[in-house]
Amino acid sequence: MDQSHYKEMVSNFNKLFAADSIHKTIYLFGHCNATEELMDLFLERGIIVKAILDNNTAKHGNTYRGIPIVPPQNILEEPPEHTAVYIVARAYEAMNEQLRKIGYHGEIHKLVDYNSYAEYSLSEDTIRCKQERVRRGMLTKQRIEQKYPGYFKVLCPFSALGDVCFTMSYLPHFLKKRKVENCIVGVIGSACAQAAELFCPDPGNLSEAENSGFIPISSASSVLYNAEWNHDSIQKMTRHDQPQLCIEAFSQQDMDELIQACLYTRDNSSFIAHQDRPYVVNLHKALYVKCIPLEQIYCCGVFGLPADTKPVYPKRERLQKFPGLYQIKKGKSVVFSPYAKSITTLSKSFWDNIVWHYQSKGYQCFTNVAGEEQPLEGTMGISPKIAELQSAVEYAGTFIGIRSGLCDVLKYAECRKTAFYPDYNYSDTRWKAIDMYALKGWKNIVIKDDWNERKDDIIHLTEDLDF
Amino acid sequence: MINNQEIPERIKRYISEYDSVFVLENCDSVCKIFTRLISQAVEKKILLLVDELVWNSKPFEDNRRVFHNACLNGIFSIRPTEYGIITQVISHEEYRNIQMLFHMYEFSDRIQMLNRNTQYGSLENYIMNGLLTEEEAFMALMY
Repeated sequence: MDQSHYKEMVSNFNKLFAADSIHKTIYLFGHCNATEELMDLFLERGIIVKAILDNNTAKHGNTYRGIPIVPPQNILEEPPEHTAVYIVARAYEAMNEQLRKIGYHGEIHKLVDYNSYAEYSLSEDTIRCKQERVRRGMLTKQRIEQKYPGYFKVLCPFSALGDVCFTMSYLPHFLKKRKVENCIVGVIGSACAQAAELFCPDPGNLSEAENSGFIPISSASSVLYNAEWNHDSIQKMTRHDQPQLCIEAFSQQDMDELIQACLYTRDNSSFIAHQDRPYVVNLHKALYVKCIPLEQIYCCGVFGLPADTKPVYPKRERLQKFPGLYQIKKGKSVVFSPYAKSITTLSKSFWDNIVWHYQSKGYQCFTNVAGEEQPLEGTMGISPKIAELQSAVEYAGTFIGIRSGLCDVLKYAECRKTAFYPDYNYSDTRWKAIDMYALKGWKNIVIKDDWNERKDDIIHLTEDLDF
Repeated sequence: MINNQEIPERIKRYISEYDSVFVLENCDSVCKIFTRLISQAVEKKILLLVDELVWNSKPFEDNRRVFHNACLNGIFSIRPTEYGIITQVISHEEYRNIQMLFHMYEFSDRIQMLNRNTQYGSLENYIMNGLLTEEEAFMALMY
């Protein structure tokens, strides 16, 4: 869960707590990382949660911190006036509707507004409100089109490094197929903008730029904050005789509204590069029938390219040297990345054991941290920029992380690379995370829920790591 | 002339009475696949809304033979197939209103527009590059 959504959740939770509204039997709906974080809040306040409701039958019988995951129908076993359901998962509207449809008439609380596209109502007020939202989106669309006249717009609707990396990997082929010259790629936030920029040709390497068919944008350090628009933009060069690729960063709200405006106006000079956002995209339904790895979903489903299309790599010349390399023992260090926004976490004891294993072999240990994240115990925190990460891990020699978008940024780094997959299903499908986004050239290891601190388990895991 | 306030009420009825509502936007390859496979057994109660302009168009002629006899009375209702799919021809005005609302926001997860849209990827891409057969794509759509 990203910071802003987390703060929203905590704020709404605190309001309910302060109003003494949390006095019924509590259920949460939708097992995901966000729900686990909400569970942690309840448990910190000493409030017991009865169960986590989830439609995914593969999860039934599992637990989180001793709380069982059960079918939604289980809530009907108790009088509705004695229960309350709290939802922080993304599909609030569908979940709310499902609960009402199965006959649940108790309280349902939404603690985070993830999905500004959805409101399951056709009242005049709702339609009016949504019309206003479209109008705001049209203004954003107008500004972008004035700033980049005649540019094709590719919009990444979700703030996820991995999604942006997949998009940029196949974008040149897609633009060629569509015979697009100038293109502006919209992403959310500066981290995604920096990840997108890794794929843009180097401004100093004109022949590379000309070979790629694009005029380069200026260097990574020139991300400018545009106060008028309240978002960042990367300055573009102004040669008009060559196709141009620009990156523009938006807030989540602006992006949502811009996309809605593009849909509403059927703007055929825009393209939404995602596998299941917003609601109009139905690619994810294929996963109910067949397992299609995420990269192939982007290549073939999102962009409609042949399955044998080769992805474009991040540009070496875009990578920067991490200024903190002097701290790192070359070839004998490990950079850990234990944090991921949208998946279940691995336990502290798990990471402690991994860190201990490497320290006992004389490795220096670092944790990649951002914002308020804390380094793992016994390690030093480092915070390289997106463009500097690869230099840090290559210098260190070893990267070990929970499978996250950061792994996609480092996909081609030349070092030992391990990705851990908590044992969870992808979305509401029957496929495991490792089925969907295992990384070629990496050690991909699934960490089962019942991993414990027995010496044998640790030995087997660390033997796996030593390659 | 339909009063515009009627349209949201009609949509509410559609999505409350049916598990899925599909709106056929034009007679393209998506439409052809859908109407070819419409006779496959489905466990859900499905409503297919067809714009009268599409229904009456020449390219749609072959597809009309898939359905039972039409009743001319403002709104064309076609007897359901034995497989739980009901097809209803709607006025162009109603279609335009549904389309407008659909692209304004997500008011239900039960309604989908059937078309080849160039603004985003679709299941049809998987058929084109061989990852799914038409039958598999249809099954996925029915979820």
